[in-house]
Amino acid sequence: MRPVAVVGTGQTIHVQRRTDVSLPEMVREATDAAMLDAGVTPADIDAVVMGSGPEIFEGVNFPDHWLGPAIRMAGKPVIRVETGGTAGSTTGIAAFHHVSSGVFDVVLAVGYEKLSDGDVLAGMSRCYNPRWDRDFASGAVGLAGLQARQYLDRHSQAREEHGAMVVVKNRHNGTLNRHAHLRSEVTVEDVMSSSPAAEPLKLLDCCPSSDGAAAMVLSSERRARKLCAHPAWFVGLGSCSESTYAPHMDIAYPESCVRAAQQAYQMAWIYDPPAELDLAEVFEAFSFQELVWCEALGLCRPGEAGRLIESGATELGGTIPVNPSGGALCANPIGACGLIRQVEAAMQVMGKAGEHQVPGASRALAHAWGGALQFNSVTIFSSEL
Amino acid sequence: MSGGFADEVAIVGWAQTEHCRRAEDTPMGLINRVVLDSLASCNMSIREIEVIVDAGSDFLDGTATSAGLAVDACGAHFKSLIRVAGDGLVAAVYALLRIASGVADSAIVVSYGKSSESDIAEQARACAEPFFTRPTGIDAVSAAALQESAYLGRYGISRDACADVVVKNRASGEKNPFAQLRSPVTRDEALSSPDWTHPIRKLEVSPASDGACALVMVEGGVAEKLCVEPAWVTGVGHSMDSHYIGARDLHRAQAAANAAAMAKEMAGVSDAAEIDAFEMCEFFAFQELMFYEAMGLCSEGEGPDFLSEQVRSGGLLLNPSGGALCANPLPATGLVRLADAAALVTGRTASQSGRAKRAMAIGNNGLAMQSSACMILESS
Repeated sequence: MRPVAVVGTGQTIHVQRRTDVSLPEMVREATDAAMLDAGVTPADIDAVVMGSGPEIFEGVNFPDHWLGPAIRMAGKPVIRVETGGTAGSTTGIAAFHHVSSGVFDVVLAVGYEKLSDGDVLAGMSRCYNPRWDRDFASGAVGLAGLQARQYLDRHSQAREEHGAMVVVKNRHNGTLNRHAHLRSEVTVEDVMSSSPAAEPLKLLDCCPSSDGAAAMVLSSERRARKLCAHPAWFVGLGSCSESTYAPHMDIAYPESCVRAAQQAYQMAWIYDPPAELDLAEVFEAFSFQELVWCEALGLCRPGEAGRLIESGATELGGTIPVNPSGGALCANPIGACGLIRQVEAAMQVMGKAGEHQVPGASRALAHAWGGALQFNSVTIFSSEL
Repeated sequence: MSGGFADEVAIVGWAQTEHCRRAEDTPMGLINRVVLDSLASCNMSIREIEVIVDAGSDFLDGTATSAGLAVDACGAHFKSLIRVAGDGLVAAVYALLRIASGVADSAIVVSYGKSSESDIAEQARACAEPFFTRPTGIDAVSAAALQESAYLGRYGISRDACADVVVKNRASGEKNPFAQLRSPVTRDEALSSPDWTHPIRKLEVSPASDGACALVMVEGGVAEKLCVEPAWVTGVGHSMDSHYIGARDLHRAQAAANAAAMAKEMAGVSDAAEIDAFEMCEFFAFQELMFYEAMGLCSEGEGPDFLSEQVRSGGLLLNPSGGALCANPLPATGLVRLADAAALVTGRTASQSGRAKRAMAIGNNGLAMQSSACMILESS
């Protein structure tokens, strides 16, 4: 396999509603920032991989045909991948394949979502099968509520406060991240007393709906050595899907996530994830999901994520910081969110995460989920090849 | 740009449905059938497949992230499934890159569409960006009509030249058991068919079909162990032109030209005539003439003369399947072209439409041929 590195990253600020820019202008902010960071111009880019959530969010069919040329990439190969919430992360992985195939040297990956342009929950509810379950569809919140309830019922030691502690930790990290949408501290009491969303989730257990985009420039080893003093190397990748209607699907410990992590760890020669990783950026659109993903990713044993968050190990400064950027609870432009996780993980091992930098981070994991909790992907970056 | 593939890749199996209006089938049923049939065609089992790349359209399906619902039908449970939102041939390009990178040995590419359940004109109008273009009401047919006018006007070509494409492709479609339109038409019938959107005549428009196509792609070592003749992928190209029709040279299929040039360079083909078969996505008859020019078979403006010459001498195979004019199961049409090209280089055609040593499949997506993906296949 040809080595591939991230040599530049870029993000917009993530906010409730960008009224100052249109969708293509917003996407271009991120891609221009990534190209500037990598020290390349559009002429250096061989191909573009784009990712976003379902087209219903922007109401444009084949939006890559609009946005690809708008980010100065007309004439080049442009593809768009779409795997629901995982799309951003799928974008980074597909861009990796573009380079490692040997066909392209420098590839631009970009994920975006301008959720204020559409109706998020209406869009989400249309993910459900029109014949079977759209009549009682409840967007993503209903599904996440079922997941949290199943998690709490399965593990007697798990408490609703554990979810609230995730929110407190991530909202604190968000205050250190200048790109984050929500940048204010909250307390466990604030979360517990916020209004009900979908039992057991309260309003503050849920992510905001954000406008934002993220991009990264990937390159082959030969070009990476020239372009960047401290590139972030892709050392592990895993992606796995599972059936929407499998009766044995376990949403409190999704096997597709376990398998994706195993693939990535195997590729990266990681045997003891919490000891060998310096941090993880996971897609926790809802607080309890961070607990579920910590367990499925092997950062702790099943049922022990509550203890993990209580111990402070996942805080910035802990032994295995989770979501030092503040995660999806502080900003969730859906189709970009998976790519933001990769961008943040890459920035950490490149040593340029700023105020939320994990000191000396050399190996970082990025995770994303999508669909009916059925698409999971894991990427591992390292400062060393 | 870097160059060749890190690993060799071959297409070993494929299947398509008969493309027509299929009220009795769900999209998932169509997917499931072609996935199983494509595996059977190369004696493989779904257990041997690592990656599924699907190309579908949320707009056609009326479902957000319809890939989620396709997981079961594709057999992607506990495999890696990626939805490439676009033409099926673009999905095949991604699957190719993934296998060429050496991280996967086998993939199924599947694409499907049930145009009969949707409003395809509305779907095409939604392709236009919402601020400047969409208010004009432009759709696939009107964009194509503008393009045909630009093409004919630029080179002083009569629109009657398009009738030759219709006659040729409909004659080929008659032999293709998967085609929707399987009756030949005469030149007079083509010329006397009513105006659809001037200068496009009704018989120059591809039909709206329901259908699906799947293709099995494997790493070279795996292909050699299978007891089937593989189609080797030796070149790939892909390009996207400006979105704004007014900003483009409409008389030239620039994206197709870029894609074909990239694929030819990779395959070491200096002259397009070294390729003996071409499967093209001509949603409208004139687009096939523009494809000839974009692929380098003739100079710009000489598409009609080139076709007349080919019809007389019968040298190259040009859409021997009948092309999109005989079956157009959007967005799978490009993948059908690739499957038909693979059939030509391996001699495994359903219609006995010919045999080629080297074939090119070229796709077409977006308003007025905005983007194209392309692949060159060769026999062992």
